[in-house]
This record gives sequence, C-alpha cells and structure tokens, in this order.
Amino acid sequence: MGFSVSASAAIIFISFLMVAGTLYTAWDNAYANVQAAQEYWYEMRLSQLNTLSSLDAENSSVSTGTDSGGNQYYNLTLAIQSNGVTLYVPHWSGTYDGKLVTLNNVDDDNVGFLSDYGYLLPGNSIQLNVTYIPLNENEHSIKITFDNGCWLLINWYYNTTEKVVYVNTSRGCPMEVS
Amino acid sequence: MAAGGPASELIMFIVAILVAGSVAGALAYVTNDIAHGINDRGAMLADRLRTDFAIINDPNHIPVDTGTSPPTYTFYIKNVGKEIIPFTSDAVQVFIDGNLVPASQLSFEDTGGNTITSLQPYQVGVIKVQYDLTSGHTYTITVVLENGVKRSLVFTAP
Repeated sequence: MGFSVSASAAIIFISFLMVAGTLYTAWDNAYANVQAAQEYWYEMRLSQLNTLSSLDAENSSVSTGTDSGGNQYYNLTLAIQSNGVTLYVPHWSGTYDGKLVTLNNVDDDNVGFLSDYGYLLPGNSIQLNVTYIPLNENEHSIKITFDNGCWLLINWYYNTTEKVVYVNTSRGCPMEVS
Repeated sequence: MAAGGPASELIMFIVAILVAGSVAGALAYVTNDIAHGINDRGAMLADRLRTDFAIINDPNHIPVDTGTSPPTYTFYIKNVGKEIIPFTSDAVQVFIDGNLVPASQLSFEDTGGNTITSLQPYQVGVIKVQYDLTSGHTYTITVVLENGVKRSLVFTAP
C-alpha cells in the first residue's frame, strides 16, 4: 500500500515537472518571438517619428524647352532633403499626378532620380527630375513615400507670367485611424 | 488469506500506477495543447507587430477608369513591414466610408497589371475598386489585412 502511494506520487510529481518544463519552454519561445517583433515595431515607430523631409529649394531648379513638335515644356529638378533619420532611397515609391511612377528611371514616365542613390543621410539631399511638363499653369503633384511609409507631397505650378515655379510641400506618416 | 494479501497489494499497485499514469497522460495532453496555444498566440502577435503597410496614393489625385460601370478606382498599397502580406480578396477587406466593398468588386494586382496573391516587403501592389462615388466628395477607404492590421486614407473622389 505504501509503495503504491509513493510510486503514483512519484509519477504525478514527475509529470508536474514535465508540465512546468513544457510550459516554460513554450512561454520562453513566445516571449522571445514577441520581444523581437516588439523591438522591430519600436524601431519602425521611432524611424517614422524621426523622419523629417523637406524640399531643398537651393538645389532645386527649373528649365524650359521646346520639343520636336514645337510644344513648350519645362523640366523640374526637385532636391529632397532628409532632416531626420537616414533613408534608403531604392525602397522609395512615388506617384506623379496620382499615377504610380518608377523613380529609378526617368525615361519610362518622365520622373526619375538624377543618379543611382543608396542611402540618404541626414542633412543631404537627392535630386529628382520631372521632365517634359507642358508649359502651362496647371498644378502638378508628386508624392514620395519612403521606406518606412512616411511621405512627402510636393505640389507645384508654373507661373507663365513670372516664369517661376510655385511649390508647396506637406508631409506625414501612416498612422492608424479608427 | 495469507495468499490474498500480496495479490491485493499487487492489484492496488497496478491500479494506483494506472490512475497516476492516466492523470500524467491527461496533464501531458493538456499541457501540450496549452504550449501550442502559447506558441501560436506569440507567433500571431509577433506577425502583427512586424506587419505594416501604407496607402500611398495622392489623396487629391486618385486614378479612375470611368470606362467601367461602376467606375474603377486605383489604390496603391506599399508593404513597409517585414512580413509578406497576403494580397487576395479572401485575406484583405476594403471598406469605403464603413461599407464593405464586395470581393467581386475588388482586384489585386502588381504594378504591371498582373494578378498577385502576396506583397513582398517594400513591394507596391494595386487594389482596383469598382464602386460608385460622387466626384468631388470626400471618402475614407480602410484596408484591413487578415491579421487585423489596417490603414485608412481620406481622399477626394475625382
């Protein structure tokens, strides 16, 4: 009788130890997984909070021309400056007058970077060309979305009387609306 | 009586071991189930934290194709997270001003116009929405992923 009790108690005790071991391993795995994801989430939010971009007017320029059909156009070079965190330019996306454009090639849609850029360091700027814009006072817009989802929206129009481009910029980051 | 003592002891021992074994087995089963649950819940939470996307349209210039009835509006979705986003009508729900857009009125494409089922990190996908909107009015589109991550964009219908 005594041996039966102690044997069964030993089995139950060992099973409790195994339960504790299994649960601890599962909790540890889940905690490590969530912790790593949480660190990524914090990094992303910090990156978005510290993303500050603007138009560098000094390095932006405009030029006019006439195509083979006699139509007048202007080319705009927009210098986009980072005043916040380092941004990775190949992961940027853009829309020009609402339509998605490729930013690494100017020939396919008249919008593209001046050269192959990698990282945009704080304080530096990169130049984006917008070419063959019909020479009139219609308003145009470019929205650049960075690798972390933050964006810079640039609206402009060409004043044919004063022969200057008036530019307006706004910026933001994706935040959940509920 | 002298022979019944050890036999009953043996029977009691076997019964005790069987009962203890059953309890231990049940505990192991339940524990395994809980451990799987903890792992699954952790993975789900981690997946949600690593998932992020943005609707990158210019809110004042939404591309529209008026050649269809109702018109087709184009929304660009950029995966800015670390996880691959399932990109089908089963996995993604679209609401306009709180009204669910039926899956039959949605199409999910890459930027080349090909149908796709997932979005890689930093890839841009296209959701085409066939819906009746009034030009000049402001609407809110909300895109909800299968793990509950959602983003909204307030835009003016062209």
